[in-house]
Amino acid sequence: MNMRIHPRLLIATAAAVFGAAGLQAGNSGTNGCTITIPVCNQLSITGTAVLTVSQPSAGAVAGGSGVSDTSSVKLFLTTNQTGMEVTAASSVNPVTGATLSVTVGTNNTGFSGSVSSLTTTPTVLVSGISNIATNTLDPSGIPLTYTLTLTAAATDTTTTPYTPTITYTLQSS
Amino acid sequence: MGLWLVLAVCPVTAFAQYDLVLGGGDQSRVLTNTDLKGGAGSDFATTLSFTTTFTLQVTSPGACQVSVGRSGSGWLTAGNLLVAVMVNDTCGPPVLVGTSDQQLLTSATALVGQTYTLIYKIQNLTVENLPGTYSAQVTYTVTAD
Repeated sequence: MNMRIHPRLLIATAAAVFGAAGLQAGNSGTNGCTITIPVCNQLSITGTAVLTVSQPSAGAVAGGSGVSDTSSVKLFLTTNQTGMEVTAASSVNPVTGATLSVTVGTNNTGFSGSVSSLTTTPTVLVSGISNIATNTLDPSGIPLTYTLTLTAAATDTTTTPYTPTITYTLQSS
Repeated sequence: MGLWLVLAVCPVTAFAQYDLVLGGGDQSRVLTNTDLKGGAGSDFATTLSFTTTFTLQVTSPGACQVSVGRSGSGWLTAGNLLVAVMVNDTCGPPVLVGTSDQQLLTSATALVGQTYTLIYKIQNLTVENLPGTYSAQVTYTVTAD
C-alpha cells in the first residue's frame, strides 16, 4: 500500500511534540541538596571525686573495704561512628598499697564496665559503643564510681595527698 | 487549513505560560561538631539551616500551586529535609520535602515572574547517620490550582 503523509499533519505533530516538551522543561525545576556529616566524637567528664579515708578503729585497716564516690563524676559522650570504646588511664600510678578503680554506674544508655586498677596504661572501660548521644537517655550524665582500697602497707598520704588525674579517651576499638 | 493551524498552536500556548525557574544552583551544608546542641553527650541541633538561599521564579496565567518533592537514594537514614519560603528575610513555615510531592505555595491569582526566596533546613538529624555525604534531587513543579 502506498501511504502519503500530508505535510500539514507533519506540522501539527511537530508542534504538539514541541508543546509537550515545553511543558516538561518550563513548569518544573530541580536543584541538588547535599549535607555532609563529619566524624563526630566528643567526650567530656564533669566533677571531681574526693576520697577521704577515715582513721581506722583499733586493729582495722584504713580504707581496707574501700572508700567510694558514686556520684560526683559524670561521663558525657557523643559519637556517630560504630565500634568505639572508652579507655581510662591515670596520670600517676597508685601509691604503695593503694588501688583506685572506676566503675560505670547505673545508666539508661546501656553502658557498663570497670577498670579494677587504674594505672598509667590506658585500659578499656566501656566497649561496643556505636552511634550514641548519651544525653538522649541520660541527660544528667553517666555516673562513674571511684573506689580507693588500701592495704595495711599503704603509704601515708596525709601530708602529700595522692591526686591522680584520670584521662578518658573515646577511640575506635 | 484553519483546523490544522489550531491543532498546531494550542499545545504551545496552553502550557508555555506555566513557568518555573530555579536560581542559586545546588545547595549544600557541611556540618561541624559545633552543630551539636551542647557539646559532648548531645545530639545535633533539632533544626539546622543551610547558610545559603536560592530563588524560585514562578509565572502562571491564573491560580496555581507549586509542589516540591525529592528523589534519589542517598538521603539520610535519620533526619528530614525541609524547605521554607523567606518573607522579609524571615522564614515562613517549613514544608517537609519527602519522596512524594508536597504543596509548597499557592496563588489565587496569576503570577508574572514572581520570585520567592527559599532556604533548606534539616530537622531531627541524629548521630545514627554515619559520617559522609548525603544528597537528594529536589524538584519544584508549578501547576494550575
